[in-house]
Amino acid sequence: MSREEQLRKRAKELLAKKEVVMVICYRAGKRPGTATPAFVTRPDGADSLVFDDRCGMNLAAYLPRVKHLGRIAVVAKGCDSRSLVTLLKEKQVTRDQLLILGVGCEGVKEKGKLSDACATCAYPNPVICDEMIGEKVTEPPPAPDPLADFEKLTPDERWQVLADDVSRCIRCYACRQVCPNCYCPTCFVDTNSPQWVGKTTAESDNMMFHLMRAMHMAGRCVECGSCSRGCPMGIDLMRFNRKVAKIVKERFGATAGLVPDEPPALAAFDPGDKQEFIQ
Amino acid sequence: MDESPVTEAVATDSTAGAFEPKIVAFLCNWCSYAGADLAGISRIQYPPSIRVIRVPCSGRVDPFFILKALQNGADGVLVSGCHPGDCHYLTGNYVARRRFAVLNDLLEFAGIDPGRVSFSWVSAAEGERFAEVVRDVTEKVRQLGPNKKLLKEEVA
Amino acid sequence: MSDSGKVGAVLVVGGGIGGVQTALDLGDSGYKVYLVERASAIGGVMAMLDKTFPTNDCSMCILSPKLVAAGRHENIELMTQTEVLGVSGEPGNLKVRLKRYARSVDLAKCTGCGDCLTKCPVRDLPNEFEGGLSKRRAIYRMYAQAVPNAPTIDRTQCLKFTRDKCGACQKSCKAGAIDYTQQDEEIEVEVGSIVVAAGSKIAPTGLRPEYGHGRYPNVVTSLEYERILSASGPYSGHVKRPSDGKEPKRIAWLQCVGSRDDSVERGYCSAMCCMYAVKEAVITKEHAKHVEPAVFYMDMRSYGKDFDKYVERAEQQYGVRLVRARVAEVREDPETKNLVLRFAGDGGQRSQEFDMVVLSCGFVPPPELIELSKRLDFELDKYGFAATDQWGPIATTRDGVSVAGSFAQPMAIPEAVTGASGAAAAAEEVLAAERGKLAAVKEVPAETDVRGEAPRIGVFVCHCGINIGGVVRVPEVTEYARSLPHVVFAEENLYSCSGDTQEKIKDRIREHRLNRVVVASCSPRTHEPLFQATVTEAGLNPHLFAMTNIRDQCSWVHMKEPDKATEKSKDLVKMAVARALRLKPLPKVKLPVTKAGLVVGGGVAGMTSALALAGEGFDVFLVEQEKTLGGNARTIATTVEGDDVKARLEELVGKVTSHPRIKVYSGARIKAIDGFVGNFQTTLQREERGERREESLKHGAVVVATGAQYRTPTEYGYGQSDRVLSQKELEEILSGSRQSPVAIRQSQSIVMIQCVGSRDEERPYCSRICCAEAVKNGLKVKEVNPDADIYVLYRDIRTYGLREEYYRQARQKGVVFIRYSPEQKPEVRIEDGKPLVSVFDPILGQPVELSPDLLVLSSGLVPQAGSDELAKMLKVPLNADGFFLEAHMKLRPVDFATEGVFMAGLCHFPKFIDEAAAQAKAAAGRAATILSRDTLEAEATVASVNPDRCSACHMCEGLCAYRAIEVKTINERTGKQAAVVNEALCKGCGACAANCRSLAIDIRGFQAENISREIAALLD
Repeated sequence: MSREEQLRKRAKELLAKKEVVMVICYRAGKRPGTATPAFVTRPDGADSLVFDDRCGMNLAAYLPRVKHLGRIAVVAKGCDSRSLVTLLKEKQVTRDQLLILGVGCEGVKEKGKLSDACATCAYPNPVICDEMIGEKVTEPPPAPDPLADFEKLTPDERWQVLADDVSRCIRCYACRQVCPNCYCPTCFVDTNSPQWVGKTTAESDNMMFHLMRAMHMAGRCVECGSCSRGCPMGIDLMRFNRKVAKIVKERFGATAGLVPDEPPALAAFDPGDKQEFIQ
Repeated sequence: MDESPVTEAVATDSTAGAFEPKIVAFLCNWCSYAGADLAGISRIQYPPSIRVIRVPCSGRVDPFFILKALQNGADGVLVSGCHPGDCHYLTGNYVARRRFAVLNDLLEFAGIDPGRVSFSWVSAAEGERFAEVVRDVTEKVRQLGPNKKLLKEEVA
Repeated sequence: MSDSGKVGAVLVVGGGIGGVQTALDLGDSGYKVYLVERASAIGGVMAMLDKTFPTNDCSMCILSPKLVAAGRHENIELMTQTEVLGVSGEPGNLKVRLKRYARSVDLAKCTGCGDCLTKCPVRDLPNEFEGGLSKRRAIYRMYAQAVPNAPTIDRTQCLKFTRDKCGACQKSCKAGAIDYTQQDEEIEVEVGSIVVAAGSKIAPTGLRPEYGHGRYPNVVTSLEYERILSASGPYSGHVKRPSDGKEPKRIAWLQCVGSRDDSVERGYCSAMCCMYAVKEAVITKEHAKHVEPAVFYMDMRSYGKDFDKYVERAEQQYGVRLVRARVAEVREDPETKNLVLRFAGDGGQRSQEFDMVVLSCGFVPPPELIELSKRLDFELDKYGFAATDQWGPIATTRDGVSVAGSFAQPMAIPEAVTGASGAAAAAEEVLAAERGKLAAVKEVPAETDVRGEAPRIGVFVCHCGINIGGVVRVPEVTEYARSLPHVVFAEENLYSCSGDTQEKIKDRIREHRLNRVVVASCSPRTHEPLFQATVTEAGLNPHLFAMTNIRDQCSWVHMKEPDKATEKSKDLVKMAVARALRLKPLPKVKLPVTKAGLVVGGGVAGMTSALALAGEGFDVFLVEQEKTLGGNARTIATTVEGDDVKARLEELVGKVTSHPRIKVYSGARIKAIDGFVGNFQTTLQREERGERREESLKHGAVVVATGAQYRTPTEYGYGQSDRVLSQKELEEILSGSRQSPVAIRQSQSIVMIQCVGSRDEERPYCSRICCAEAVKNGLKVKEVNPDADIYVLYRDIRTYGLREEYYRQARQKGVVFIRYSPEQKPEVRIEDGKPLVSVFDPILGQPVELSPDLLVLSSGLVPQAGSDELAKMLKVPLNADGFFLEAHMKLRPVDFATEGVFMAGLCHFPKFIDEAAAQAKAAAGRAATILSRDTLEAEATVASVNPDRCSACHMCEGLCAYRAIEVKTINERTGKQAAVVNEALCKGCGACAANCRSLAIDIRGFQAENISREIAALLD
């Protein structure tokens, strides 16, 4: 039985026995070569579920919106499982609300080639799950630092590259929509009094948005790449996320989405934290 | 008592014509603001570049405050709190330090020139040190020139 | 008078910092206070000081808010230019006759505008407040920030009174306040108790005529020098010498003028001169970098908390030269007016030239107090200080009359403030039942509802005399303020903090219907409460007030750049106005108070505090970890003054254990302390009949009195020979509770080493008590065995205050004191079980070998074990040395920054029994200001949550050091969760708000919106 068949069978079973009220997985998208999230509540719905290298969306993103329904089964790749850990840390779901169906992942294809985020993935297998569907995949060797070249540029060059990139942002907030970390009732871009971020797409406002978005990802983002893949303007959003993940790792020795009981890196401190940047 | 006559303040404004940066300084009430007070009480002279915004604790300083200042045209930002272990609120500065570390590195990554945004610890007893920090930060910002990055151009 | 026949009012004599603190504590605790001051304004000596050690706080800046608070307190009646004539009656019900001298200015009418001050033609009188270094007129104000701010007329000089001419001041007074017809009057007040806080005066320089004060213009007293340093002094804070107004380069301080000097019958040490001289030298260096200060001293008595560190900084960082020598004579070079000092130094007689000399004058009791003591019928000691008891250092020899401040003995400000709060407690003990009977009901006008009104901002720009106006163009800043949006009124004030300006601000609020007030003056850290109280009195919520600091941040730090300082001031005003625009009235949170106190620690301090609290009428829980009460005092036989500690301790324990209001928990450990001021809950653990039991106590205040520990020495052969003892062990031997390896009677020689493990890198503080202990035990040994040779190897002998007497006695009895330097410490080796000591004697100029029968090590005190745990539970800090850290070293010596928590005794810093007892009483006095209330108002500037925005991510919970925020289900029906703030616990630090991604948390008073507008305003 293929992994996909196993998955359908198990989903059907869980729904039939009413062990869960919903299974979140994927189904084929309307456009060929794409997949879209599927929310199945009836056993017969499980037949259309798919899982392969088209399935990039981070399914953890949907949990806060459906958790009130009852226990939910989620299909989780390495990155999805880490996002679930972030949500558990932040008490957006409880462990008993979840049934995690783990799947190993060899990377998501985007327009025929391996997605950028997946090229550097260090956790292709779920870090937390209730049962594995199929086998775990081999852990890849550590990838070279994807930011190395960019960081070699001068400050002015870096600013220019980022400014050019974010200048294309049309503020559609697709990145926010697909991100499991974005569950605030009101996003900071939508608040007034004070209105911290201007609503225009001027370079300054766009940069403010993306820098603050990155700040909010620090210690939480698991680098699944959903935002970059979801951006209609092709902005390299992962560059920001990778940077904050790197900072948090280097400075505080923390990696997001691994241990549910540990507080997020920015909700903790160590009196011995490095402070060479402070006069 | 005779009210003493106003002492003549000699108009020797220094560095006339040079670029005088405007630097927004967020000072915690208990240490750094008090350190600034002490610099005043001790008549320690420093450049008239900073504009102080008093906050209860460095922990109160939201990254938004800093970015907003740059966006609105500040040439530099200084954030100063109590030395580690001295926080009036016990751990506010430890919490802040992690956030500032991430912001500091992120801004550097984004190409905001190092020195545009500075952080320091200054205690209530460090009047001279406060003045020294202001001199240092002012000099750095002066070297960098007016801030252009992140500056929000006025919409005509 | 009430049924008990007692009167709920107290007379406080003396308006210095001591008297003011007593008055404030009593007023806050619900008593009517008459504050009597002979001068025309309160403030005392502290008002004359420039800075205070060891924090270098500006003296006037920290004092002024207290003076103003006393001046405006609803329960305090200020009676200036008044003196006590006599008293009759019994404690609890005293009739005091007072004489009020005519001021010739009607306090009710005077606005303090100062117009009269410039019209008086008699202009050449020496200004006493300025040490005669400037002139005053016949109508004058004692000092700029004087409370009350009204001037007074010197009738001995005024032409109206001397020659019935002139009347210029009356003509100039638009308020019609000058009244030449006022008469001296006698009045009588009824009180239940009297506190004498009459202070002390600096020793007359006539005691040392060879120093030339009065003959040589460039020899000044320390108090005159304070005025020279003061920015509001005769030279506007410029260091100048009186003869020619030139900046001196070489300045010498001569210590012990009128102190430690039997030849002039001033045998005591004045206790604070070493520190103030070093401070003056440091401040001088800060004013004028090129000055070379030198302090000529005998022993450097920096025995207080952080004092040694201060002196070290003075030497290392500021280059203050400390010269150990007593100056024999000062001679003036008649041409240059420079001064030549002759003194014995290394290698015999030396002389050195200076440009200026400051005499570090000691302190003497004001001579007029001899008369006062007769009128009030209490005794003075041989020097003329009030005679007090070691264990009740506040009580005089007359029941119902207490003493506070340096009238009991020479002491620095913190000790005076401590004594003052203690004296308040003593008065309250007499009048516990009368609390509140005569107190005024605080009338705060109803708050004007400004919601929905357009902002109407009033801006007040302060000249601060010349402190701001001398650099910043205040009129221009005021004019600019007027042009800002929503500013409907702006004006400048000479002193915004003066009483009359406060009245003016209230008038302006009413006249112009202001609903936001901005003051541009000095630091909100010192003056915000004052202005907030003022706007409250005008019906505005105190949080509709914004302050900006154009003195410390403009005029004082950009003194040579008036244009830029003015521009910066405008920016700061603009920012404050922008902040003010969105200020919201903040609600007051009222909390009930549990009228009981918890005292942690059952030593002398803890027991004294417990008794005082109980005497004030509150229930007390006294917790002691040991099985028995008594603490360190159990190991002490007598004090250096000869008091029988054992007997006194027994008496104290008896009183505590039998007091109906005190419940003693011995052998108990504190497991947790929860809650907050007025509402603490403490969990105790203790063994009872072999069972571990937990108990929960509810109380409104905490006194920490956990003591300290004698340090067990590790150096100089301790532990290697039974003949090497600690000073504490010698004490035990002398009291008979320990066997000596060599009988004291048979000992031929005893060596004591001081500062063992003290004043070094690891423990950079002085343990304060060891010198007097060594002197005491030396004298005792001499009593038992007059032939014994006793050598005390010391660095500085610090028998400060009246204890100096015993140091003198010890020398007279033949105890030999050999000084050693930290670079050349004594060396000890043990041979055949006996210690051999070698030390370099600086007087002989060669090493001395000693082979004592006993070697005694004074190894000091170290912080109590477990202090850090208790500190965490109470959320209070320790200093770097591990002692509990007070809220302010000068003016809040027994308070913690955390409200409702106080400290007493050795846990604060090493000290003597009388000092611990005084502090213990003070802690009770301070605690009463809380426990006497039925409700408390919580901090208004706390976090608030917008639940609609909260994503319940729990991030804030982990960040809050006070556990004041918690995510809870706020709607059972929908299950909606959101963070909820416990406003009583929240301190308003903002750590939660700044970390809230959802922007759901804001800090009242420091709202993101206001800060955002402040930023925008500056840069637009």
